[in-house]
Amino acid sequence: MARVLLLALAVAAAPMPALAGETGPTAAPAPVLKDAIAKAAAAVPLAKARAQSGAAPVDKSELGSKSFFKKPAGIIALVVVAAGGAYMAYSMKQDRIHSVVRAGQK
Amino acid sequence: MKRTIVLALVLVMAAAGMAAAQTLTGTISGKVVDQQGAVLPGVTVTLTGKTGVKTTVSDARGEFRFVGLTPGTYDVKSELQGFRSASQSNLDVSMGKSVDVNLSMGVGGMTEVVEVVANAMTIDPTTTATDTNMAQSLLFSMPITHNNPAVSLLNYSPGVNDSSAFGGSASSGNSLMLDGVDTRDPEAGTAWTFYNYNIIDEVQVGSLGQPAEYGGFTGAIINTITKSGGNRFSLLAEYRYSTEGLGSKNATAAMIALNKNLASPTTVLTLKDYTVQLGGPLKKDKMFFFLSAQRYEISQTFTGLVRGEISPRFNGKLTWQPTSSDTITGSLQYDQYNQTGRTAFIPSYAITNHSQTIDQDSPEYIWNAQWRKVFGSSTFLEAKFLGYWGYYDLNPVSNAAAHYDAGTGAYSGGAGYWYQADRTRNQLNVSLSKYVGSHSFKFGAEIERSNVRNRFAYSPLGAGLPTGYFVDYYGAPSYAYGYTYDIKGKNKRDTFYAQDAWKVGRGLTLNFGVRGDRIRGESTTEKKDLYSTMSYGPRLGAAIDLSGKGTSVVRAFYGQMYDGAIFASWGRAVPGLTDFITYTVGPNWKSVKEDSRVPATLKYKVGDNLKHPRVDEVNVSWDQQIGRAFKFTATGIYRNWKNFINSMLIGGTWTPNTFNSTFTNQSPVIGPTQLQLFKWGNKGVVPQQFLIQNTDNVDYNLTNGSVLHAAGTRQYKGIMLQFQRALRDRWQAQISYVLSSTTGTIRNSSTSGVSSGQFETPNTIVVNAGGPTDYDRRHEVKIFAGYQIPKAEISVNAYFRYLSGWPYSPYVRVGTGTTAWSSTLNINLVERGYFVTPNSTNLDLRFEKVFDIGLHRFGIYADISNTLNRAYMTSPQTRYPNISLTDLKGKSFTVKFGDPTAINAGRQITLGGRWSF
Repeated sequence: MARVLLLALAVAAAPMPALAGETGPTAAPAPVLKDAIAKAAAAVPLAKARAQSGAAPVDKSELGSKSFFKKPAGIIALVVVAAGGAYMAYSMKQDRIHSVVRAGQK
Repeated sequence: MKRTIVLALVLVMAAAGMAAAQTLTGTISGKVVDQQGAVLPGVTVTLTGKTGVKTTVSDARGEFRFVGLTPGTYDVKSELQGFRSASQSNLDVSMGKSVDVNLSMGVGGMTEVVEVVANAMTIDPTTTATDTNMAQSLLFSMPITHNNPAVSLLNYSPGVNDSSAFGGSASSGNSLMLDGVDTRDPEAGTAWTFYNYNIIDEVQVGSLGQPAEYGGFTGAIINTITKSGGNRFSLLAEYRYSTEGLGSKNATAAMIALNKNLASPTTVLTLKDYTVQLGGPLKKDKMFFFLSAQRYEISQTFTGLVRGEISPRFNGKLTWQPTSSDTITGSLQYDQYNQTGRTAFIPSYAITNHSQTIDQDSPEYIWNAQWRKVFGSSTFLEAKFLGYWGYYDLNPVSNAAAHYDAGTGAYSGGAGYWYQADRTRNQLNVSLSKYVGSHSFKFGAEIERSNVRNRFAYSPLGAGLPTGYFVDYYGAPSYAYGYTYDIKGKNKRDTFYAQDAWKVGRGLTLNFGVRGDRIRGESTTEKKDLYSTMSYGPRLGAAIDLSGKGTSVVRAFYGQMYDGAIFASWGRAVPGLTDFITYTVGPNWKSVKEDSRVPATLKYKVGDNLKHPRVDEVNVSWDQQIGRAFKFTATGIYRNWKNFINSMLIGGTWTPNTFNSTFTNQSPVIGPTQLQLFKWGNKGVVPQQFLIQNTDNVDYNLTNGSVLHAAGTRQYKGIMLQFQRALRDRWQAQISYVLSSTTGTIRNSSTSGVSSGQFETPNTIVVNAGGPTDYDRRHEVKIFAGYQIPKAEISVNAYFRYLSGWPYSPYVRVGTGTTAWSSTLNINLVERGYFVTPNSTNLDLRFEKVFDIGLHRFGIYADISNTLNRAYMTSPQTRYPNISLTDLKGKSFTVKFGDPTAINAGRQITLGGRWSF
């Protein structure tokens, strides 16, 4: 139990570069990630906090255009939503517990 | 050249405040002045939100107003030739709340902008409602359970525990609103529809000092608004996972010694919770969509058995803004609530194998269509048609009859019964808000029609035998009972309300309102109304802005709130119940023979001139803003419930009869106990028929000619202290302490105040029925706190709760020989509250690591519930002297009075990851 807890904390506390390394990095993404961290850390704390609560006032104008979904991140987002939704819809039939009594009434 | 000047000043609350008037929308209003404080008419004021831009022009008094706003974050900007522009960013608009802004414009170029940073914590100086809201930042970051969000969020709020809000009845006393849809079961008020925690955009818990537009509750309202699409595409993909290996057992050796089944407490075997959501524009500023899909899957053990739930949930919402003043919204939810391993006749603590459980089939739809129309800046119309449909069928795994041993308290046999429940609820709500001078009027009408159908049958007592259940006595056959029912009814509620918030001046706002509820209950089969009440609930309040800046506000409120339409209060008078038959049982339970029969026809009838259950409330509160991010609130509360509805025997007379109990207790010293009970004196002379009536004050005729008086009472007195620290500089907190007392003869568990047999004999209302109620938690401390660690960018969020224990008392089952009643009665041996379970503490934690990469936010987190792995009793054994249970090997053992039959869950870690933009 304690080991699991420690593992969870360790994962949560892992420094960014370490995690980036685990995900099979090339040399290029690391600086990008690093820049992002520096940028995020430099942000006004209130703005950051608001961003995390889903009410981000940061510039996301790119998300206002459908062209976003022609970019890799947008395509991945569509795939995740479509695949996730389709899987849930498909498995719904297997999930259902059909009432014996109600089926008999039909 | 554009120049931005951040002043970071305390936002001055404008004098022209608006009332808390819209149930699902908010208001931004304010005044534009020059540097000398003179009003500026003709200023163009622009509001920017996630669905586009709105503009208005300040009037002759320099005032402007945006009404009917969807809750969210907005920016306001004022522009006038020859003046520097002024703007206010990040204004948080909550449902039913008004945000007031003063914009000060100095002489200069229009391209220069003076930006004022809003207070992180604001107070609405015009409302009498005491907030017990949970801030959005708390909802997002705290380790809050995602299961059954409406009820669980209610219980995280100050003053609410065990679903009892400020002394109100659990379940039936609370209104559970989802985008304006009352999602309660119209039968008895329990949560009927369950939704995805991740579709919540904003939650408001209202209970104290509510204006007339809020009704249908005598406890609290939880008002949830779901997410919508906006001008920017947004995504959430989340996965949460837990397993048995991430959990811990918490029962102590001492607890297990008292009840060996506690060695196998309820624990999570697997939890898999997937959500994907996408929202955005179909046409910029005009049309938006939001789609969500979830699969919630959990399996748990309880006393060694497995209980499973798989709930797929799908949500879709379309928002259309054909003009800048019209918003049309349509939404639909479909979900299933599939459960296996549910308990039925046999309580969970006594179940020993899966065949004693039932499976549940529950599909349901929730629909919602809304139109909002803004006429100028002073009139706002809102119309909604909403409702839900669903059913649940309980199907026993084994159709064998259930057994209850009246001698030992043990259970055996199968799950025991079938049950099918069908529900439909439709509501039409229309409201008109009108702002005239210093008045903020709101008028509204609501029509509700909700259908209830319940079908029930016990399992057969054996092959070729009627349905029923066996009552044994120390392992031998004794007798059996049986009946079935198919009842259908319709709640019909017609409501109107009118309210005004009158800004008198000098910081004083008077709130007036009245709400009228006409509630009828129709027997669908007979097509006639059995229940009919007309209630008028006044709401009177005053709010005084002591500081003139909205930073120190004192409020006072008196109001009468009526319950919603509850089928359970009159449903027993609906035909469809078969005769109640008692059987003698042959050897080895192989045969039964009818012994007696209580005719079902007209067994219950509804009395005339009934009054609908209500609560009278008086509260006084003080809100004090401290700095820009802190708020302190102190509230004193008094509540008194009235118009309880219960059933009484028609024409019964009662003979005092002494009952001797061997009950003894060392600390405090009690017993042996002698109780003055009452025997049905004219049994056989008058039939066992009941009148459903108000039971605030009733009399029982004794056979010696005297009269025995009984009263249905419940009162709540409390002091609530709240300290809120808005999310700023990496930390936030919400701390509350409630000292309270709830006493009376009517319990606050579920439907005790609207439907029970407590008054059918004097024994259960006169004999030790008073004292602290079930959910009287004397001391309550709840703390939410979060901190984001710099550099590591890990947020640590904690929820801590301390609660006093539950009051309880020992009872004995008194047989029919003593009371001449048709069944055994549970009689308290001492007044309720003589015993209290131990206090409980709980600490939940969330650690989240956030990665912000461009537009994308990735988070991985661990939720640790019951971090300290504390164990506390959640259910004491209250039967004296003991009950008999069966362990997982089928071996019987006894649990004594006061020992635990259930404890809380042990530590459980849930891991989660989410991607959003």
